[in-house]
Amino acid sequence: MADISLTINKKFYTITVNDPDMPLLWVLRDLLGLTGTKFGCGIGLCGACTVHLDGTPIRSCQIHISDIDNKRVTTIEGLSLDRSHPLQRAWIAEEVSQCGYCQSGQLMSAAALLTKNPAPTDADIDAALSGNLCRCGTYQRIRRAIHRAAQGY
Amino acid sequence: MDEQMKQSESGEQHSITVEEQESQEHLQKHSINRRQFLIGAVIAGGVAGTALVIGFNVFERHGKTGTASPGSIAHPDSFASDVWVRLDADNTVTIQVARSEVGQGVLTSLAMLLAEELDADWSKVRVEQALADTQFGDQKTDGSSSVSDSFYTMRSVGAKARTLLVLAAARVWGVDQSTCRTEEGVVFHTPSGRHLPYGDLIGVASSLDSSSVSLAAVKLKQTEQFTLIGTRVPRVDTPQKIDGSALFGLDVRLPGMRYATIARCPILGGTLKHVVDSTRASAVPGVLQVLQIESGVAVVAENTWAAIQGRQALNVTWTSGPNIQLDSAQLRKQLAAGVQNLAGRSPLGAGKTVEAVYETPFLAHAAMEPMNCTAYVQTNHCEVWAPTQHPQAARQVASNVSGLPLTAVTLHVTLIGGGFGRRVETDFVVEAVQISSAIGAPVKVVWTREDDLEHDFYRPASYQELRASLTAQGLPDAWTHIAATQDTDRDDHQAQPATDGADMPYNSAIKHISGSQISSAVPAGIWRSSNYSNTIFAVESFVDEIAAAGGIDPYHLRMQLLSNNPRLQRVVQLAASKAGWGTPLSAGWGRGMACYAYFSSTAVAEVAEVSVASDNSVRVHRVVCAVDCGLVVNPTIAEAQIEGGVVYGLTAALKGEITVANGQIQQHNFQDYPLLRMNETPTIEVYFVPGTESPTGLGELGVPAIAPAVANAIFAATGRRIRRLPIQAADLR
Repeated sequence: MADISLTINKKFYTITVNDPDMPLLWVLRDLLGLTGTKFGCGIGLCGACTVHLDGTPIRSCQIHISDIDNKRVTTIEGLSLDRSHPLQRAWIAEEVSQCGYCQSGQLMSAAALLTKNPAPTDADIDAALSGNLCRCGTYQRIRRAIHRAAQGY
Repeated sequence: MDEQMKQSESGEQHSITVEEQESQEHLQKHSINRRQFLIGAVIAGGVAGTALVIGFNVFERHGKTGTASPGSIAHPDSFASDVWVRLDADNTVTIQVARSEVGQGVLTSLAMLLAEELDADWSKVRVEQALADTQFGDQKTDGSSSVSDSFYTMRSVGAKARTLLVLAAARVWGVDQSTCRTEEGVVFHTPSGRHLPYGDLIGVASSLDSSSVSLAAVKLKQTEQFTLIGTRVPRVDTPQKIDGSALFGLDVRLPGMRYATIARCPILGGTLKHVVDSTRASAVPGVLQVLQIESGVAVVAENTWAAIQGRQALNVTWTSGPNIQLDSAQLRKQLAAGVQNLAGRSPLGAGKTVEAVYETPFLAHAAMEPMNCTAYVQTNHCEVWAPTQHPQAARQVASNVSGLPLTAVTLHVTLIGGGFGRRVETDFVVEAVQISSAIGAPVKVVWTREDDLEHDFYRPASYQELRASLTAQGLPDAWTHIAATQDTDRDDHQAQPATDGADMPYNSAIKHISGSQISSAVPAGIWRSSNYSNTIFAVESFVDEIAAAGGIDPYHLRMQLLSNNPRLQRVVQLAASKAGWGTPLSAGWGRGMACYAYFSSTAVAEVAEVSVASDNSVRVHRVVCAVDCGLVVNPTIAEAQIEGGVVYGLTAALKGEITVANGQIQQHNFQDYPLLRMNETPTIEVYFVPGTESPTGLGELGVPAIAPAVANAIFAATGRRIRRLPIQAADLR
């Protein structure tokens, strides 16, 4: 048993888990009901489970809950309260989503990129987003939406 | 502790607690609410009191794609008990969409069809994903058929509702209905300028004998009268897909729900011998139960992680069955023998001959959302939440497995994280219903990515031999295509002939096309564009080989050989002109083209611009697509479908391959079944031939032409001919 303290989307949680190895992904989805973060591969290769850990994009399926005591997590549900993040607005304007399953992870990777690099080139975007798979093939719309958001939406 | 959470985590071995020390607001927002879940796109205003509901039992399947016509609507005047569209006093229009939203945009495009003829105010339209129910007609979502199958039916429902509203207004005003018109949810009396919103008319409209309005009298709009159809209406499902609130199958949460994973036999056709030891699995914290079901051994737990860990701790032995020696080389031999058995039957002409064999592998669907299903079987009722492309089949198996009558089964279609044909199957539904029946609790069956790739119904591999003889001008005078692939005919699936897509459109005095279907232990099923992804690769590569043999530019050869097919000619011409066909490229670069028509409906041409580096690595830079699908219902969604098809087809062209060794699938996750990534994705341009005819399909249409277009571009760049997929550096040496 382990007590983990976490701030998730600006709210403070104390989580008691009996398996300290439980990945953050399943804590978010199954214990907290934050199902916007998706399960795609479980081995960190698809990016569907991307969240921010202290501002850095990470694959939540690869992070043991006991390793992130006292850290700060942001999920897609915390990107904005009302879909007002420039990326969310750009995603709407460019009609990026098809099935939509990977888009939480895409948005979280993109948001981390823009924080670090407010005016990314195509190459910067490719480098930051190529860890996020999209089987519907929305890649070029994602690229366009990131440029749009970078230009102040 | 949050009340919702107590409910959803109330397992007997409750071992995980969560305390939230601030506002409950956030959790409440995302907790499961059954009503919310029922509704695919937007929450409808559940207004009490009178509402006008319109239902027609009119939907029939019209073959693969694009052959619906007004005359084919059956029983247009019979009202069904359930509803297609509901109008409420607050002017809300709630539209049921009966085809599954797999990302192709049907929640938007099908609702647009109905709203167009209803003259609804689009801002007041709410869309619901319909339950599985035969009164919706065919709900199977495959074959790129949703828009074409629904084009007249959804519009007719809208037109009939509009007619009733006009009749109601005319009665209220005591005027002739012919003096009334409708616009954006309002009926106007043109001479006097009086007007009433639809919401004010539902009482009177409901009292009318709706059967008095015959569909024959319901006038559908002419194309030029459309105000919604043909416009870039924003997708209704976008907002919830960018803030984490969209609920996919895997996101279903019910009070008291368990989570299950299943250990399945890794050997094709093998079976469970026995569970050697489940004590270690049961000892995993959070594991509640280990039980045997038809497809294997289920580990039931308090959460997904515990279920995964529990399965890993299981000790199970399998009976290997008859396929333990099966491998890909054997399967290939079987296919080649299928072609050999048919070879030599059609003589070629006396001129120069061209011959080639093309091969394609088995492929997985690899939807981003792994297979899953949630079921709750109770004494007299079974409720299922399934990300399914085949709602009624899923409901039927839930009935069969639970032993409850169909009427006692409610099947919700969830949002779906990609289908591509995999989700017309019902295996994942069977599992959930079996487990819930056994444990008497709601259960969500979760497949891992490994389960998903190792237990798919794969796109069949193919082996195809093409031969042609040429005239002195380099044109084919005889064309032979023998295709061998695997049969997918089982249960309710239609057979996909090996020759689907091989009915090549080019002029040739003699055409001999034959197919051979083998059986194997590899489960096979439908896959985005199905056998077209096999045959179009062969046909369109071979046309390029003929062009090279005759010294004719592949574009000019196609234009010449398509003189009897103006529709295909038009897309070939459009794609070539937009792509700058014939303009110079750098050394190591090439352009390639491919075209086809899907079941004689939608016509597609694609031009790929490719470079091959000195290490023989291939990069696709630009793809130009020209499409004729008749009327385009929503250009934004239509373009996305073709873009997506190209990316899906590029994964198959450059990467995709499922292999078998020792009777086992050799690919397990994205490290050995890689998908195209953003940095590998070309610029994709999509152009539509303006059309006013009934729309034909798009969902699968981007896929088949891209592999041959890329292969032909590689030939143009290097002189090397690609005859098997995926394209490998070894084949470029």
